[in-house]
Amino acid sequence: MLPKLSRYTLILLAIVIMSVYLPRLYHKVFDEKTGKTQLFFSPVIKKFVFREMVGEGHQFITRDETGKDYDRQTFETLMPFIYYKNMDLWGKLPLHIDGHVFDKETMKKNRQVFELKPHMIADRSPRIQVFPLLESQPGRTGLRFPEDAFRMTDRMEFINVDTNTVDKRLTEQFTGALREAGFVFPARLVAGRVSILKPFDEGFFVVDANGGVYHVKRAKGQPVVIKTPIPSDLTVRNIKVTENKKREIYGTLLTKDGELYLISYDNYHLIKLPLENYDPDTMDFKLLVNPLYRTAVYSDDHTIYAVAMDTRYRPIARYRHVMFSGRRIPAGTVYKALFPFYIKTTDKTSGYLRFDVIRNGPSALIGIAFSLVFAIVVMNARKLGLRKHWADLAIIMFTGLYGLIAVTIIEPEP
Amino acid sequence: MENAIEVVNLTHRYGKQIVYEDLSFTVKQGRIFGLLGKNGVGKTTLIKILMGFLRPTSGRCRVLGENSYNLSPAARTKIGLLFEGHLAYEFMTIAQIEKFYSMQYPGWKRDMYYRLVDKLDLPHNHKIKNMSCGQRSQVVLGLIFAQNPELMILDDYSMGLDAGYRRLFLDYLIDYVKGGARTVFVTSHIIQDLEKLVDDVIFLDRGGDILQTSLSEFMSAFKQFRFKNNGFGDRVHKDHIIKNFDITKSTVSLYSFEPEEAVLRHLNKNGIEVTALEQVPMSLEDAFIGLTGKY
Amino acid sequence: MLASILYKEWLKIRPYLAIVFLFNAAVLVYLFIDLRHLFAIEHAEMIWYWAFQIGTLHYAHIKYLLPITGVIIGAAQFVPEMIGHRFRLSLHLPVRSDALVLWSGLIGLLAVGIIGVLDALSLYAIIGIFFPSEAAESALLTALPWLFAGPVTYLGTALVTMEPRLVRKLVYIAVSGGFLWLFYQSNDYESYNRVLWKLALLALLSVPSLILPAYRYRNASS
Repeated sequence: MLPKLSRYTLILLAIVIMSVYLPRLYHKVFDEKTGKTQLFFSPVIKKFVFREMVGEGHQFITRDETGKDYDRQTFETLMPFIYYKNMDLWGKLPLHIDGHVFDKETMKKNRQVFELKPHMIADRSPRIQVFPLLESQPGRTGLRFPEDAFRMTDRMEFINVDTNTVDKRLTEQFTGALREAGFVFPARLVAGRVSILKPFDEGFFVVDANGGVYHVKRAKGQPVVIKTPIPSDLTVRNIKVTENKKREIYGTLLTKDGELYLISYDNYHLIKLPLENYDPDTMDFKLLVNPLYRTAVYSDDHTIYAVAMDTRYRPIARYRHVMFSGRRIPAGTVYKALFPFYIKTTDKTSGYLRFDVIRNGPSALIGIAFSLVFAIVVMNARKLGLRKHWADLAIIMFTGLYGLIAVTIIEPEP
Repeated sequence: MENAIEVVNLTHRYGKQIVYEDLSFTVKQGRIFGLLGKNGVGKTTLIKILMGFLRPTSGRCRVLGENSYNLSPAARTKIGLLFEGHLAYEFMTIAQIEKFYSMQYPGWKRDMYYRLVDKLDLPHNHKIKNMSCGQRSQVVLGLIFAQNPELMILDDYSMGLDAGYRRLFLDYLIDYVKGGARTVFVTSHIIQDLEKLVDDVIFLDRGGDILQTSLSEFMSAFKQFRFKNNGFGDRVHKDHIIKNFDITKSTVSLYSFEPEEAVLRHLNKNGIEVTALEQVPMSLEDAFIGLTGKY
Repeated sequence: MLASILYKEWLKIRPYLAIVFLFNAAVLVYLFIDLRHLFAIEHAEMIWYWAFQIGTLHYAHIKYLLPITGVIIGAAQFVPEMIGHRFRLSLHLPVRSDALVLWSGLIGLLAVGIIGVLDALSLYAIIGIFFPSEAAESALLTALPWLFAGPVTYLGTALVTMEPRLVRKLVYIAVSGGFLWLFYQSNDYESYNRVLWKLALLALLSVPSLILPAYRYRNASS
């Protein structure tokens, strides 16, 4: 009894291991090029245009939403604010469009892109909750990391990096400033851009225990704490700060309901982005800003969506498109027949590893049928009674090829 | 009286090769059994089967009343086993191995162990792996005597032992069996030792032919006859009367269970003109070679 | 009964425990020296930036410490049991042979586990010298999969050593190796936080296989 049981635990373990690696091996051998579709709103023709990879090799189509194809150069002239360097090269600048004139400098200065990929969301990736609060007014060009870093506990604690001990003075100073502004510890979220490679520093946006959003900066060594009017019942899930010289938008704010806002410099006024079908956990999001339009583009592996908005973020046009890479069955029938399921360990939408069983659908029945036949042949050759070894056949029925390999190589005890 | 070992219709094969077929014998309690046979006849295989290290192809083996393939821990406490080659835990010292085994067996006789082992004159922290084969065997035999088992199975106990120690061990063994409740099942290459020791013998031949008999019966029944080679030597062959024979230029030796007259008559019937046979007294070793043949 | 098994296993492991201790300690001491050196030649705020924002792991020295320990202890326990057919000695002891192997395995796992705990505590302490406690905790969480790999290689070594037949030995090597690799899928900190418990459960699945060698040894025509 016991040897029988431990044979099955071993078989189970072998099946699990195989379902991690065999599909990966298959992909390593049989993968082909796929590319994501790029979608834009052309300010020239006022239509959505896209560039998509189709078929083998480097075949691209550049087309608009009505199905009209363009050659590459024409296509790029439809997107002058993006391909402004080429426009300049081709002598098409300054750009006259809709009664405005834009030269290269203006175009360059006005470009902005906001990006939010799922793994950038705070609860989707690990992050050690210790942060440097930069001096935002250093009195010289170039930002520098300070000699301390802070963490939010029941206070805003500053730790000196050289001694690795708490800096009591700074801690009391900043904690006091926070409390004065009404901050209730502990913090729910700390968000800022941790880098010195940016034009200036806007510090951190910190959400307190009641959901209030506070803007915290360090100016000439002193704390600057502003309680923003952002409503505390918004349930902030993520804030991504992007310091841009235009000083129009602090960054994006994502709520638990999946609503995406821009935080404007105008007293932290929230601009809601009119997105439909946006799922922050599975879709990469991009907001392309140019002087005339704001275009939000978001996509998962299957469909790409876009909303073109005016400069006041009111929607003008929407578009959705099933991508070529999404249309093609990402895994062929052969793959699905061979592997009734696989164990997924990586996830590009998250910084955390997974260990989940993903079923591959009904094509697996083909593979299971073949595996059963093969197993019966082998069992007969080994003179193993089919009825006696029904459990082995049952395993193959559920796990297909994995079970076949496991049960065949890990022979039953005589 | 219960049987210490019971083997019924034992068949074992290595692949296509038959080691034994329908082998049956019993070892009664309180007796010393010697298993004799040439190398490769399957003596060690039999012991492996008896001790449950090998599953026989078919047949039944019972040791101390239990199925040999599934000996319970209780049964194993009563069986002392000496493996061919005197296997022991090499990483232990003289003292450590005694301590370890003393935890396994009830009624452990520590002084018995040290009485035998101290004759080696080695410090107690001497490691087993630093001993010669003979020294190791003394340790293992010491362990078995300290265990004081009901049944002792000794596979080639004499390997590596010098003559003096072999004699000493024989004394201990004979002493051990006195009293009746203990059984010894022994194989050895040194036949003359067995002569002094065993009550019963089992001769094992290739393919599983066996002869089980008491030693005394065997020695009285099995005889060696000799006559001058008068040119009829080449007419001698093995049959149901003549178990074995040996021809030199001058003499012909015959081995048989039959009395002299029967043998004579048999020879004459086959055209071998002999009038008288000289009976040659044999030791067990002579008899063994006579039964199984020289290589 | 357990006392005697403990005694025997202790006799076998004892000299190797010393080796393993020294090996682990040496690597940990080197980690400390290396970190200290880093903080001597670089600015601490940069090192913290690399560690917290960029995700550099400054303690990768200990990645393979426990799996190597597992192999050493597994070999120390089970190789002496198997060479020259010595398994028969254990099979003849008045102890159920599957229980014997299981207890021996648990003792070895305990030894590996204790060293793992010591490694973890040392790592926490060392990181805590140079970084805030959040980073020490993070290091611990990040190192957990590497520590879990220790029992996995230990069990794999035990099984491979005791298994009489070559094909099954290869199966154990393949399964153990594949399993082991599962613990080294990421170079980022704390990536295993959400799946470690699943992997731990999976590791439990390999423990029952320990009883197989006793049965299989007797079925192999030796």
